[in-house]
Amino acid sequence: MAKLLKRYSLIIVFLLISFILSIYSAKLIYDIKRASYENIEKKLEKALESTDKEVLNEFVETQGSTSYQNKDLYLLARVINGEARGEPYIGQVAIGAVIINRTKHPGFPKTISGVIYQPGAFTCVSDGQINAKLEPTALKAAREALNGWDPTNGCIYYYNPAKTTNKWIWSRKVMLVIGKHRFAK
Amino acid sequence: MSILGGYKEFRERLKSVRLWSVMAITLGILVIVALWGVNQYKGKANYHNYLTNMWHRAFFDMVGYVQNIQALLSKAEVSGDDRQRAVLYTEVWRNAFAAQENLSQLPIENNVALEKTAKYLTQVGDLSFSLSKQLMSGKKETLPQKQQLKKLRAYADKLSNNLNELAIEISQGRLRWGEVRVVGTSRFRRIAQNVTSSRMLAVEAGFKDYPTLIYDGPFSDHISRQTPKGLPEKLVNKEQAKKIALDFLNLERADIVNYLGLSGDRIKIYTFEIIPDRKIRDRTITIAISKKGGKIIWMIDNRASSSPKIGVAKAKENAKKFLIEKGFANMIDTFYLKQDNTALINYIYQQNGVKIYPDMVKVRVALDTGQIVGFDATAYYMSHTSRKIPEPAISEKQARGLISKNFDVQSVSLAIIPLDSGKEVFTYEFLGKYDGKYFADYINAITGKEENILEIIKDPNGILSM
Repeated sequence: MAKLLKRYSLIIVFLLISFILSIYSAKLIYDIKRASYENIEKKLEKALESTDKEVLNEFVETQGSTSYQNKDLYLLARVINGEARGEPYIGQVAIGAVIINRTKHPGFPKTISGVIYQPGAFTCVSDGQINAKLEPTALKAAREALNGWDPTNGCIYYYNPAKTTNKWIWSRKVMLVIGKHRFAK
Repeated sequence: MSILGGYKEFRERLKSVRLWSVMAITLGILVIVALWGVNQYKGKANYHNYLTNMWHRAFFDMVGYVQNIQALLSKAEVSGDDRQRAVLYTEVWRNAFAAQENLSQLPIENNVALEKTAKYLTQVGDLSFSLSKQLMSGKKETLPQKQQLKKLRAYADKLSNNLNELAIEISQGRLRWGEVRVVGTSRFRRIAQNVTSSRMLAVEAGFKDYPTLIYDGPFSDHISRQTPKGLPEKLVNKEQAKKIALDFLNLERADIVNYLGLSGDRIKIYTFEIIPDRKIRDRTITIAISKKGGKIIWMIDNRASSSPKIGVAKAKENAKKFLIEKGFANMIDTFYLKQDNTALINYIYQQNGVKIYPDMVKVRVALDTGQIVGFDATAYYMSHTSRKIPEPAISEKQARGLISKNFDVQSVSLAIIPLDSGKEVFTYEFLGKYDGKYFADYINAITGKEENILEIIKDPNGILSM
């Protein structure tokens, strides 16, 4: 017993040190993440404050032209990226179109963010894939969908038959298959 | 002897020291692990509580809003004052949308399965809003509209009762929300935890024989039942459709043609995926042909364009030539947008100088070769028909008097524009500037009512409306 312990004591000490180090590094990463979140809050606060000031100061000159950016573009691209990376381009556009079709359907939230963050609606939102590295094609596909192209011709559901565990979705009528996804009404 | 004995003793002592230290280290590890575990557990419990609180808030808010809807609708039934009813209807609209928003936040496995409840809430709100607008323009509710409202109020009663029961059970702690996770939960736990989900789905079942609602709003059931006005009657089959597609793309033959399916509710559409050249596998063209009439509804060529060599003017020239070649006469360009090395140009139909905004075709031109890489005529085929355009009942001068004095008008024309409800109205279109920003103001050419205002955004990358 003693011999055994003697042989492994060094390893145990190493384990202990590495364990403590890993906890510290985990905490560090967590803190860094938290810090970046706090950044968002601070920025929001600043933005709101500065608008307040501008509204109070009535003699602000309004700018002739503001460069227009669709606030939903990146969010939509992120979901397309998380759900359909590696799918054909048209399949990516189709995912974007399904989200847009939902906003126009009475049975779903009316905004793109509402549809995307509906609990359990998209796998990539629940498992964090939505934050994966954004591929340029996803952004292009999101633009295409926002511009009104709809490869699904009005579908509001889709699933990957190899991955879904959800029995309810199978009861929906499949309209077309693009890549690995089935699109349904 | 004594030295040897001393050494032995020393070794004994060393052994026990080592033993103690090892034990201490092990204990230390255990304590650290335990502390870490407790910390983790606390963190998890914190998050869980936080989420549960959010869900409870969403749920109880929703119950409150549904109760309000029920009360407001019954008041509207009793009230005899038009203005009072208009106010009540706007209140219903506000409550219904808030209720729907909260419903969509609930952690129900298959939140989308609550489609019917959500649809009910949307339509109650939408219908109330259109009724309030109707009342404000001086028209009372018709008898069918009143009956519809009565039916909807009955659903609100039922829904509110069911939700109340659930609310009581939840506040007594008898029901718990399930965790919204897809992986990692065993089936058994899922059933146990999702009592609330199954109870909510039971509430949903109450909407089985929910009526079809047709009214003047964007979420009315007639929107999804519109039939295309611009398609010829003749039906085509899959093979014919394939030939039409290849003709449209000016392809003699293609290496791979995949059929993706027949889809669409307003227009039945065959979709094909075409790879013109096997060697350039990346380039696929997806194209959709209507079953009725055999027309190309939309097309996407995924060829990535390289840096621009032509300007927007040349792109417009190409697009116009393309449209004429494909049989779209009298089209004028309106908005355009440069993105991804392409220009997306919107064309609308023009009849005797009147702009027909519903008949819209979108063309995407690659700015490197000038090739057409995208086409969408869904809107055009849905609405295009030979219209009888009446003479305006009010003059341009009268219409000009109806818009804001501060609006600096730069051009005026006649236009037919689509409304949210899918109807079309005949208007004067005033384009101009206000406070440095561009707007389009639409005044009904028959009644003088202001139908819509759009902000026009002009920047280096394009002109678009909002």
